[in-house]
Amino acid sequence: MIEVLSNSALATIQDGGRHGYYRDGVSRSGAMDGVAVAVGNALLGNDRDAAGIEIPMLPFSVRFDTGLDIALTGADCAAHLDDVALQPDWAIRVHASQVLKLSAPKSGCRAYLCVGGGVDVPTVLGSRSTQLREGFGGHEGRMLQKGDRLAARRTESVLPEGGMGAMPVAALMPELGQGANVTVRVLPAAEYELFRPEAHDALWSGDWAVTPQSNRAGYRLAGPELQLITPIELRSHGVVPGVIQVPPGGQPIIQLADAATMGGYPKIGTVIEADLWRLAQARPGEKLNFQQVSYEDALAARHELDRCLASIEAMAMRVRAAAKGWSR
Amino acid sequence: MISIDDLDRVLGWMLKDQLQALEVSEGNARIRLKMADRPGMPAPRVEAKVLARGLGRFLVAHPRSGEPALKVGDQVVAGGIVGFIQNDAVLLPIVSAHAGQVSEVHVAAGSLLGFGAPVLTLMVEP
Amino acid sequence: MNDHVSLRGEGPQISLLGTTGLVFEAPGAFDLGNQQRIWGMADALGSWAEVREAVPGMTNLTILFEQPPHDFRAFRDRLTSLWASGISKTVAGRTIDLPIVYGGTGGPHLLEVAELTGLSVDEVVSIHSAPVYTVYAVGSHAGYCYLGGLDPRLFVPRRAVPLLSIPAGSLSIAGAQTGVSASAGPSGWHTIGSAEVTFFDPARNPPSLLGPGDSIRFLPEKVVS
Repeated sequence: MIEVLSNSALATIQDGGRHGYYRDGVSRSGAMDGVAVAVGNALLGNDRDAAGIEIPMLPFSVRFDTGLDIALTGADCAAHLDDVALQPDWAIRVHASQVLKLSAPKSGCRAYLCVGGGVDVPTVLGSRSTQLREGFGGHEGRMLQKGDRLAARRTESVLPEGGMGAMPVAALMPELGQGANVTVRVLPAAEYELFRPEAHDALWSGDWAVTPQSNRAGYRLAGPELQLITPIELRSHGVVPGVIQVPPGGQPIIQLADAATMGGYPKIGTVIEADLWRLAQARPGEKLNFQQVSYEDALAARHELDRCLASIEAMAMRVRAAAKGWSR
Repeated sequence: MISIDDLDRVLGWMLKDQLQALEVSEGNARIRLKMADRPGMPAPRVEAKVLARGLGRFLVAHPRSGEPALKVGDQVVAGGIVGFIQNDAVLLPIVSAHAGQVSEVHVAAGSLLGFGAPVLTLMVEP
Repeated sequence: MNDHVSLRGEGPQISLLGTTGLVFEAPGAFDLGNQQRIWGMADALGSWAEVREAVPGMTNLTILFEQPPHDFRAFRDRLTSLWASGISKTVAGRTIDLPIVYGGTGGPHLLEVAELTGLSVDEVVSIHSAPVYTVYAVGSHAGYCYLGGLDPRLFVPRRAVPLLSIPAGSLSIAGAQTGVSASAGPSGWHTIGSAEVTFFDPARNPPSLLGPGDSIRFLPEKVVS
């Protein structure tokens, strides 16, 4: 078992998301940084979508009361297992009574703790993700609290002695933009053409600050005002994670994992699926840049990310198998 | 048949028990492995070599840490990671079993490491 | 330039949501006949290999891809043909009665709506509670019902700045729409009353109390002004 030692953590159990209930209004939920969870699961030999713990607010600590394979991915938060520093994007066997401590991140803002076989909580409507608004899924449908105890679905070890890690996905994928800002790729959406030309210029060339009113439901951005040529009222329609809505105030909101499934604000664009994980690690105060892409570019990026994850999975499997041989 | 896995396993035994040579028979197959001679092998407990347990490219530090490479004279703790083996997208740690002071660095950053290749020599504290 | 993003003109409009899905907007009026065509399309799309879910909206349909189509233009053409086929679905739904407290702490924007519409509070309540509303779609949050049938005299624009949270059971209106929140959450609409009702239960099958084609009748229990 894993015992949560931190209070007020905002940590939740998340997997690859709850799919197939959009017509009931159930938002996708799932890990904000799906790539981090996929990498943790790859190192552990889990299914890509197995449930882990999303930790957006640090410091955070847990104690293990059994031997367990764990992986820590996402934000680099100077983690220590007892007194020993743990490498970023790393999987390792922990032992009973060891304490894992995560500190304020050096980069990124969400860390993921994955465990052998995934976190053992009931599947509700096809997923183990926490549905925060409706209060179901995950651990009792809520954020984790001090004293919560969680089990892993597998306790035997598959890892080489000393553990193993993954190359940072950012280093395996093409670099976007330059400088300190976080660049994500955006496909124009339905109402793009209804915005003023100045709004188009501002969208593509502006710096968009992630405001403190940003969470799993969405990021509210601050930047130049985006104005429509003439105001419009839209009929409510489906909205997915990544959609950039522009309310009448002119300051965009990027809808994310826990966003409403339907909305009516004009949509100027959609951050492509392949870049949602980059957004997940952008902190309040950091600035975003949007890079325009075509549908074909977005498809190619999706395939490229998928191939990257598949290659980490395959190589991790080979290394685990070889290491089994060395240790015998 | 003796598979690559079997060879890996045998190599593991040899490294663990510091054997110079080993012969294994299984059915009608037989393999004999012998470690290359290392002239001037130091006396035990004075020097220790840190060996690569895996195949791949030598990284002196984690790609996300930017720490400098270990150099002669640096201190190493027992169980500490002294470098990494990068195999495509996966990293394996190079772990020093002993505490001590680096007396020799055998491989350059980015070079390819074979299984059991010496990475560092340490002067082990008595 | 954005040929694949949007088609504006006489026919349906089809626009991408990245590679996650697309929105199909029916041409024409916001009425039950158009909505029944959306329901019909949603049913038919259930068997398309590229489609994970076809989710009815308000005279529009959001398709979530199982696999995003390689040839988006061909996919768009198939959708347009499906619409042109005139496929439609009528639902013999059930009707529930929902007692409502209009105004007060559960309906803080009732007065504002009266001012915006130029009506008295009593007129707003009687106009709002007169129709039997059809559930056009379920969405936004789990179990929430989008209703058709609001009297045009109550059409008011959305609030300029969305509220961070309104409680479960809040009855609100915006544009040509009205509905009751199934759980607490943010809202850009005007809240004019409140009800006690459980619209969604994940342990129930189906989890939503109402589906497209069902109906709600609002019964004014009390009016607090």
